[in-house]
Amino acid sequence: MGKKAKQDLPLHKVIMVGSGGVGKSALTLQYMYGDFVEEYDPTKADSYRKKISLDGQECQIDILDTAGQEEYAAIRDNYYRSGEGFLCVFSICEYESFAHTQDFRDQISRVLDDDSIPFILVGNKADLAQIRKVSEEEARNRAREWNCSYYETSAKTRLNVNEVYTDLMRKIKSRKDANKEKENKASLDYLLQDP
Amino acid sequence: MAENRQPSLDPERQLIVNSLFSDGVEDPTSPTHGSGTESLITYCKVSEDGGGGNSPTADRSFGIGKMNSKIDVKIRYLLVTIVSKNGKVQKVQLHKAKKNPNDTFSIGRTWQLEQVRKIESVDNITFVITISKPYCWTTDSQGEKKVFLSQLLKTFKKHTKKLPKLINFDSEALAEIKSTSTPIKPVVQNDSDSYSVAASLQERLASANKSSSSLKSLNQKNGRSTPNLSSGAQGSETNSIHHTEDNELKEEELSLINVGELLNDFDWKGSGNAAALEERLLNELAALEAANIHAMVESDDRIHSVIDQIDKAITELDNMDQWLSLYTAELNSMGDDIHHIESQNRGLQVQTANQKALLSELDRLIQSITLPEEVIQILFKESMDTIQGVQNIEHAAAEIKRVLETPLDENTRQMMAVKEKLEAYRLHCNNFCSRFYEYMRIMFQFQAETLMNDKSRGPRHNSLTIQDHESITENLSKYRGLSLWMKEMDPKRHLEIQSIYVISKESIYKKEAKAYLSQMRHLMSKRELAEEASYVFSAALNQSHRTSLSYGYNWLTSESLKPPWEFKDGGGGKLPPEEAFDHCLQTIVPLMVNEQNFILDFFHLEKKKAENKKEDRSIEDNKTKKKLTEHMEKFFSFLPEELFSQVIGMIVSLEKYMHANEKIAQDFVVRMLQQVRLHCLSRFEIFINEQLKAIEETKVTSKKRKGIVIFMRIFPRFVERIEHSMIEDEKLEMRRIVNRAYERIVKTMFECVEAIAKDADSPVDDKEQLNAHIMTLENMHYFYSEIRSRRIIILEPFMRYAKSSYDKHMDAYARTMVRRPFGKMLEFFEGIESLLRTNAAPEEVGFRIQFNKSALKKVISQYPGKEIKKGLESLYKRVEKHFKEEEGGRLLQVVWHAIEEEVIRSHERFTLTINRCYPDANITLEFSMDDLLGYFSEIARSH
Repeated sequence: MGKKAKQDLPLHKVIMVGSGGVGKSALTLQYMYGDFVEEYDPTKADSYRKKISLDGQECQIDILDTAGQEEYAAIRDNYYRSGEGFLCVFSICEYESFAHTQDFRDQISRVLDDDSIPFILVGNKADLAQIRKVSEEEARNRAREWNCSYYETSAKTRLNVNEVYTDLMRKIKSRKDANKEKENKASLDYLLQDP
Repeated sequence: MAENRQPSLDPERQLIVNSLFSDGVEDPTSPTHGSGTESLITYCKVSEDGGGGNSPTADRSFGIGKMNSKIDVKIRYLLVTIVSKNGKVQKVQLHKAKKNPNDTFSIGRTWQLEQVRKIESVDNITFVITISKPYCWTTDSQGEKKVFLSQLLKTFKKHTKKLPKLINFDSEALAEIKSTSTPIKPVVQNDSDSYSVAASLQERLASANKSSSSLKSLNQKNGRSTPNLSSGAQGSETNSIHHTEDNELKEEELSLINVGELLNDFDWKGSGNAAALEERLLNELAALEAANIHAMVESDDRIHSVIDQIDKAITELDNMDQWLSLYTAELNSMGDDIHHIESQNRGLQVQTANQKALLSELDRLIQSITLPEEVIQILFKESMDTIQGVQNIEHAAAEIKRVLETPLDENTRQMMAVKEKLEAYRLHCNNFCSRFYEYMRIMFQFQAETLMNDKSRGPRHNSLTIQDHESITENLSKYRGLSLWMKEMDPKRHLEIQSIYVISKESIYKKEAKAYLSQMRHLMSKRELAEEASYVFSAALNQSHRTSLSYGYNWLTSESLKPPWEFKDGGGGKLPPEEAFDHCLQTIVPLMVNEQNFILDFFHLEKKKAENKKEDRSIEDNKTKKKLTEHMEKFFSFLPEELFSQVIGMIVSLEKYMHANEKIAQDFVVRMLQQVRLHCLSRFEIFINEQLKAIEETKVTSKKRKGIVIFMRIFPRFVERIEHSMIEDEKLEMRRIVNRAYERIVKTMFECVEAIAKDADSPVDDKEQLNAHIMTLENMHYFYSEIRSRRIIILEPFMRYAKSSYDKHMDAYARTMVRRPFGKMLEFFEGIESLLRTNAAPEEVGFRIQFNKSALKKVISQYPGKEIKKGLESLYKRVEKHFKEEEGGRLLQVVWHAIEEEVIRSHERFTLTINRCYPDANITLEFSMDDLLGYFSEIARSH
């Protein structure tokens, strides 16, 4: 009974990608625990899970916080395979991190072979707008190009933190629901076809 | 007249007269206004020294020659005037005037001529006139002086009939004066008191010209006169006496002559004084009169009969005198009697007044201690059921109390009437006390029974509460006043009433609280067993033993977002224990507080503290405090027992209520709560110990992977559960107790988990070792993330410890796992590395047999890319197997990532070592880094 109950609870797997030091872990921790850690400690990789209520439905979010500083991008492939949705983070104060989002986007597309995977471009450190290097317009243009949402967040002030995760989970959920319908339809078709 | 006699009219004189004495102008200096006209007799221009004519006599003896040479010399005019009115001379004056620049004169000083006492001629032109003091004046010429002085003396003589004392006048001058005046003897002054009498006599004698010899002798006798003057006077006296006399003077002289003869008869030689003479004359006169009367009396015969009559009269008078003295004695004794009677009368009056006062005092006293009969009647008969009745009784009781407490001194108390009265009232009072006592007893019982039998008060399903005892309080409140009265009048019985009240009410509390608590327990027991297992170690472990499940979460997974203990009362009437307890205290404590307040209020145990009406109730003294506590204990003695049967979290509630009640000095409540708390704490201690024991007894072995150890799963819930009870206040004592409990549990858990890893370390069993790593890192990760999300500050150190332990074991796991596909290669390179660490020179490595080129080649050839890929794939499968079961494989990606990194690190290490030790061998691994990454990508894509 227990196992069943657990499986019944939908699990949405979110993966944080982006260059080192853009605030992936900060965002995750802010979302998970509501605190902000000032000091920077490069992440190896960590996994978080939390029960939440998404639009009135209970579910679990599983966040895989990845290291942004690996030498070899390929070892991330495995993560990407396990992801159902991606938050691609850059720092609005560091143009290079914005440039790298293209690499992450490409790698994800390559690994998953799926352009429609839920994906959100996130410009973090919005609280440091005075040293902004990436204009919002440029970021929005890129998001439009990728056909994805763009958020500017601040892990420090919690600006848009909940919103960005919730939005991603909604996307994951609706995609799952769509797939289920497709499957059902397919199986129905199959059944109809079979005789 | 004098003016006519003036020989010449000079201009200066005319000026003076015009300026000062013109006709009809009254003398302004004259003190007698309207006294008549003043006319100038003579004047003299003199010079006066600076001292205002002041020439002290001392000066005279040696200063004469210098007079003229005095610098400060003022020119003055001395004027002799006569004031006359209606032709009669009023007075003669001497003026000192000064000439103003406009030829007018103003008078500086004025003296009456009589005031001149002495005139002294100093030299030819200078003279001194002594009036009030000596004035020294100097004339312009000898002639002027002479003329002026002689005029002056003449006038003096004429108007005063005497002369001032003259000094240093030559006989010629004197003679001139005498010749122009009545015969006069220069008066020689002496300072004796009899001077004036003597002088007047002398004058008269002189003017009578009776005998020059007697005058001479007089002069000589009185004499301090200058010889030349007296000799001069004597010389001229007899010759000049008869020349100039008017009629008046002649008559006077005649009488004076008679007197002179008479005086001679009396043999008065001028040596005795006038008073003696007068006396002698009077005596003479009296003797003459006596003789005269005597002669008259003797010459008459009737005198004898007169004398007889007088004698008779005297006898009569004596008689009368006797009678009078008799009467006097009589009257005196009567006076004494009257006095006596009067004083007696006064005494009687006082007595009467005193008695009146006493009477009124007694009246007042009796008044004050007498009560109208109806008061007594009220005390006995008035119904106590109605408020009006009670009020009447209260009033009457107050009256009787007033009487009994009337301040009377000891003597008054001894009075029979008072004694009897008070005795009677005391009896009434006592009777009333008994009546009231009985009444209250019945009342209390009645109230209690009413309450007990009130069906509506029983425990009801939908309202878990004890109704308050408002009705009793209300019903009884009207007797408050009487209670106070009783307390003061009959403290003993007051106490009895208290205990009756306590006894009757105790049963109510007992019944109601029991009912309440059993209802409460009923509600709680419904849920407790079912839910407890999810957060209590011991229960959970028991259950897990019973069901012998290898993974704890099977029965724990029914978790929902809402912890079970958050179900509220509404849902099936369930109550979590600590809420139930809180509810319990919420219900009971106010009851206790109310009760205490009521007792304090009703039985007036509270000290009247009018001046500081603070919230806190300070209880009268220790005795009543103790009494109060006793009452409260009787009421609620059953409570602690009942409350003990509750759960841990109640300590929090207890402390909360304790704090709240400490503030308002609800002693008993606080003490009771403290008791319960102590008990609870020991319970909690026992509970924690049980939990620790359960944790220690949990069988954790590395033989079999069990995933998250059951106690690790329970702990967050346990914490959450306790925190849920702790919500109230961080400052409570309980916080620390709970924190200590956390620490102990966490430590025990960690020890348990790490013991597994330690056990696994010693026997080199690959599988067990791996299991130990897996379990440790899983558990630590679980602990870390669960506790972190719960934000319990006290647990942060453990959280960090768990994190580092997780990292450590993750690392160890990855390294162990990588041995699978790269075992021999790893061994080979590790051998080289240890060699390098000892010998240092990388070039030498190639010369060792086991590490020479062929050996290297052999090792490398054993690991072609295909093999590696296969090895990695199987490795992934193993990792997946290790971690997939756990929490939906949440750590799989992380662990695999760690392994990937470890593989890459190993490859880098190998490459580096080859480059260092075999630089020229031109040997490389058979798989490149890109190959490896490709394999990883493939593995990623393949599932």
